[in-house]
Amino acid sequence: MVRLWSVCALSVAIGAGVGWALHGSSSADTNEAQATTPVAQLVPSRPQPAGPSGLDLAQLHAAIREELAAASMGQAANKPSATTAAKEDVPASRELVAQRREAMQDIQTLMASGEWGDKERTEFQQKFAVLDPEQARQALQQIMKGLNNGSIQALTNVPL
Amino acid sequence: MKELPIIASVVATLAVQVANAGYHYSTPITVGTGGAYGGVHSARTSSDSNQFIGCAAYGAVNSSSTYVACSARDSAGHSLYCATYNPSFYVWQAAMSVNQASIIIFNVDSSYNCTYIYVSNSSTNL
Repeated sequence: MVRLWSVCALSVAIGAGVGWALHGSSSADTNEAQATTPVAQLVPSRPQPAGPSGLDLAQLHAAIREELAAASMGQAANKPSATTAAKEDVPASRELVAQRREAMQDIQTLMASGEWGDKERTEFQQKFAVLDPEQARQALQQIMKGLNNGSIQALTNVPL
Repeated sequence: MKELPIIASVVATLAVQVANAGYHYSTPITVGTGGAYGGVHSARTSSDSNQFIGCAAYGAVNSSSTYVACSARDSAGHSLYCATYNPSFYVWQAAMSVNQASIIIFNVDSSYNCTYIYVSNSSTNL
């Protein structure tokens, strides 16, 4: 009798253990699936019959998926790219540093002339392209300051 | 005396054209220390030779640096210039939407950065 009870208790214990294990793995799978499901996949992809309005639901779903994918790509495009951000992290070569220093000096010379016309603007833009972000920001501010305080006379309506 | 009907018809035609010109609102250029505003068309058709207003945008394939710049001068000769280095896409878009039907408002900070650019395009500005 005792042996029979032992066998029953063991069976119940094994059953409960297996059941718990299955429940746990099923929940984990579900959560993982939810976490990794892309937005575009949330739209059901199985073919649907055409609705009473004549619209093919499958085509509609495909169109929505394309729109969502395009929107995701657009958002990604608006963010500064990693390569652009990393570009300034890479130390500039000695040649580039020298080139930038020379460009900054040329811009200072342009400003020192006291006049700013189409010729100066064109030259400035060529030099501006070489500058690092901090130099570029600084050059812009110096020219704006000069134009606004009168130390640089604008000879054109569009000085920059 | 025979010419009177012809003159009358010409006057009537011109009167109708003026009456059908549509609603128009002139916005001369106004320049302050912190900003400027005015209409592109108003400035262009003003009786003085001072007024102007406009914006420009710079971009080059060999550089990641960009800027947007705006400038204006009123009838008295007061001018204001601003520029923003690497502006947001929206600031860039505002500056680039300027045309002959635009009224532009721009504000500047103490370093003459363009801090605000507003562009309104309307037939009433022409």
